[in-house]
Formats: sequence, structure tokens, C-alpha cells
Amino acid sequence: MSEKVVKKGNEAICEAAIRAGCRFFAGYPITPQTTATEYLSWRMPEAGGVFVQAESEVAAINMVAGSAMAGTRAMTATSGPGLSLMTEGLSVIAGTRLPTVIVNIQRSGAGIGSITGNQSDFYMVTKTLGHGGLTGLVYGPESIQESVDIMYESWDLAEKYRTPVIIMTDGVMGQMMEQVEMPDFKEAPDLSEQPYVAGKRKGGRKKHLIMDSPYFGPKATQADNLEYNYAQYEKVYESWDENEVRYEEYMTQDAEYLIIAWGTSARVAKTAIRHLREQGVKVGLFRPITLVPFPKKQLAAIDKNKIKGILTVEMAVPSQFHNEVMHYLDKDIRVEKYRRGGGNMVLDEEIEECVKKML
Amino acid sequence: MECIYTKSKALSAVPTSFCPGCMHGTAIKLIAEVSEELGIENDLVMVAPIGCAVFLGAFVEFDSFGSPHGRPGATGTGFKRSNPDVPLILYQGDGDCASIGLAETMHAANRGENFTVIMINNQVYGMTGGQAAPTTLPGQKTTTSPAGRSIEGSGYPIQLAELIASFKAPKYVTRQSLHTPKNVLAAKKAIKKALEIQINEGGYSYVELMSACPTNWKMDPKDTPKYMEDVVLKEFPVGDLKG
Repeated sequence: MSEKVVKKGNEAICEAAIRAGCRFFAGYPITPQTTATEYLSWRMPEAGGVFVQAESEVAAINMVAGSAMAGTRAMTATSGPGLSLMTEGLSVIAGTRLPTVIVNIQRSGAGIGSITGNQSDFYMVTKTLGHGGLTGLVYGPESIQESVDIMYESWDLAEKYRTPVIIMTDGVMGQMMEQVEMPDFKEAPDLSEQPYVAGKRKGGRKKHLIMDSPYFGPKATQADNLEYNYAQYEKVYESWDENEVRYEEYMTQDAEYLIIAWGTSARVAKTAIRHLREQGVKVGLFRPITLVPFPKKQLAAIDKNKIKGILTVEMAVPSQFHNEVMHYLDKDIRVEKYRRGGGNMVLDEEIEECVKKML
Repeated sequence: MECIYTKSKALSAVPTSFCPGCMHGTAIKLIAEVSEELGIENDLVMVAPIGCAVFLGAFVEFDSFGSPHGRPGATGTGFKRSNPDVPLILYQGDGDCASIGLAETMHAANRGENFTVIMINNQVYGMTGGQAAPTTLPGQKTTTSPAGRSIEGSGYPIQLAELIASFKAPKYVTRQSLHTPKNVLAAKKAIKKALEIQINEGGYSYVELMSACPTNWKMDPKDTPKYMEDVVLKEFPVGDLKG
């Protein structure tokens, strides 16, 4: 039965994973992710799954890969510095095309940086998963409820496309509490016959030879097979542009001004929009929910004859999301940016000011 | 006529990619034979390393999966915890197991993960062309220690078996060698014992196998057994260290 509970973001997204059939978690404590690892240290065994506190994020992501190759719905959660360590494993997971789920609870800055919420891993996760130029589905929810809902269907998507799924929350969403509706428990499918799963051979089936670089295939040489197989991966990615793009339009019907933002920034922007609407400003929000695939066509279709100005909002300095959005917008539209870095929150009153300056 | 010896069914009908005089082929053959003797040839799963044995999966009829360089200890942990009934061998080299993957190796051993590590110790990085490994002998010339391994700059060879044996959790830790028929038979016994522990009582086992790399040692294969006996095994003595 679905139920309404009040839960911390990190715990809620982990509970949604359990209810989605996840039965393996490996993680390494890092602020602001720790409450996720703590929660699953007792909740995962209670649900009949396996919890491992890994010796590092390097190990954690590889444990997740190993569990996926046992046919289990497996996940990890981390934050910036840990994600850097995981890039090797992410590259392997993308190359092997293992259905896995990674939650990145973003903190700010490079190196050690700071522990407060931020959106500065946008480039790192959306451009390529580690070396090799492969990718996965990347989601940027704006609320605990949305992160729960995305988590709940993430393995269904991961298995459908044989891809990693990365859910990008942040320290704000991870640490705050709010009411959330939890979905029912669902059973994971039997994946034991999948070509990326080893062991438990039935009926004398042929061996599975699972490698992160697909050297084997219809071509004569390893290089030709790699090229051919990666071209097949590319077709999968391109199909996402058609079938998996998600975005929200908020009060855009009559909008003359538009805010474009994702995740926590978008949620704060909605407050600013409500205040501005009370003052008669016709402003709306375009919010990408999928960061990969990015809503390119939708951004390109924003009409310069209807929209007088656009404000991008993000928690990242230097800008990342802003630059990405600029690739697709009509060049004749006026675009301004408002961003906060260093772990500072974007503020609704500052968003209001920025929009008013464009009027 | 009575058949007294035949190729293991667990070996694929393809040539291996190993150099003449390399002992990887012997180690893999032993694993295949032991799997048949234990009746697990359809169940055993192997983790292939980064190194000369990267295409291990092509040479055996077992299911196998790859792992990033050094990470089999972690990949194996995830796999085995989710598939506790499937016998699992992590097949690793000395660079994989004792250098880049030292953390994963040690923590898996310390947790007492229920799998068997077979570590091929040939004192060099073979696939990349004979660079120094953490196991390279003092004074040994390699492409990255052209004047010979310096103790001052590179320290002493890491004796991984001894390190692992110092942990409480591992059930069986041994070092064997593949340089004489007698040693090969002892190595086979060790592999069998390790797998029996894994299957019957559960627990971590580690079998280090001393091996030759004539190509990168720049040595005639027929000279390697004597060199191993006289020099290598002085640094890496064979025998059970635990269990």
C-alpha cells in the first residue's frame, strides 16, 4: 500500500529504492550522503537485501557492478568527491551496459570543496560517464517526492535500455524533510538469463563472457567490433531524445518571461514566479527533469516572438547548466543568468530582482 | 584403450594468447580440471583481470566477467554477496592484486568474502611489456627499472600472501609454484582445497602461484624453472601460510 510519511530526502529515496526491488547497496560515507548509507545499513538487511560499507567509492561502484552481474537490482549513493572516484567504475558500467542506479547527492566545489548543496556536478555527469564517451540516463528531480517517483521506476528504465541511471539530488534535498507518498513494494524481475548476468546456468546454456569493452561481435577485428558496438549504444542514446525526454512547464501558458532551471534551483524559482505573478509579471518556468537526454528540441522551440527574456538559475559557479541551455536557445532571445556558488542557496527574492531587471 | 588423461571439458577449443613458457595456461588448466573433479564446471564463475589474462573468458567454458584494473576484490564481493551459492574465482596478476588493487584485495580478505583468489605472481607487468611490479625482485631489471629494482627508490617486493595471512578472517592462504611437475601437482591440490573450503564451509581463500614470464624476463623458457628455484622462490617461499 502506498502511504504518506514525513521523511528526510536521503532516507526517502533509499526507501523508494527498496520498494522498487533494490536488494544491494554498497556505499562509503560522505557528507551530505551519510544519512542514505546509515538508513540502508539497517533497512536493506531488513528487506532481505545486502548492505556493504565499502572501503572506498572506488570499491563501492565496482561492488554495485558485481551485484548487477549477479542479476540483482543494485545501487550506490555518493557526493562529488566520491563521484570522482567512481568515474572508473561508471565508465565500466556504461561500457558493460549494466542496469544500475547511482544517486549523486551534490555538494559544492572542486577537490574537498564544501559540504553544502550545489549543482556543480552537472557537466561531469551529463557529458560522459568517465573515460570513453558513453553515458546513461540522468535525472534531476526538484523535490523529495519527485526523487522518490523517479527512483521507483529507475531500474525499469535501466533494464529496458541496459544503462546506468543517475539521479542528481543535492545536499538541500537530501537533508530536508517533507511529506512524501511512498509507493507500494514491487518485485524485481528475474534477470538470470540476461547476457550481462553470470552464474546459475540453466539447461546447458552457453557461457556468458561479460566484458566492459565489447570486443566481440560481427566484425573481423576488435577495433571494428568496438566501433560497431558503440554505434549501437549511440542508437540507444539517440532513441532517448525521442522517447525519454522529461520536462515541466510551470505557468508558461501566457508567459512573456521564462526562467529555466533544474532541481532545487527550479523549486526556488517557482516561489519567485508565484510572487512575480502576484505583481502582474507574466513569468513561467521551463524545468528539464531529464538532464540526459536534455530537452534540446523543447528549448530550441522557445518562441522569440512570445518570450521577451529568459533567466537561467543554477547553483554553480562557474556556470554549467546555463551554458548548456545556451546551446539550444534561439540566439535572438535575451538571456540573463543568476547563479550562486560555494554552497550558497539561490534565493527567491534575488530571482525576482533579476526578472524585474529584464522587464 | 583406457583413457587416463584428456583435456578438461571446461577449457574452450581455442588457443590461448599466452607467450611460450608462460604459466598462465597451466594455472587455467588446473582450475578447469579441479572444477570437473568437484563437479562445479557448470557453476563456477571467474572474474577476469586486467593483464595478460584479460581474455580469460575466451579460454574457459565458465561464465566470466571483467573488472577494472585491481577491482576484482570489489566486483567479486558484489557478485558473491548477491549470488552466495555460486562458486567464484578471482583470477588476478601481481600488479592487479598487489598494486593498483591492494585496497580491494586486502579489504575483501579482511571481510572474509566467500571466494577464492588465484594470484599469478610473475614479478612483472606482462601485458604492458615488462614494467616493474610490486613483486619485482631487488636488483631485477625491467623496462621501468633498467638498472635493476632499487630498494631505496622502490622498496622491497610485497609478499602479499604473508600480508593476507596476517588477517583473522581468511580460511586458507598458500603460495605454490608452477615451475616443476611436482609443484604443479601441489598447486592443483591447493586450488582444490581452496574451492572445497569455499563450497563446503564458506570463507576466503588465497592461492598465490609463482609463474614465469620468459618474454619479459628475457630468458629462454627452458631456463626459467632453475631461475625460479634458485632465485625467485628464495624471496617468495612456497608453502601454506594459513589453514
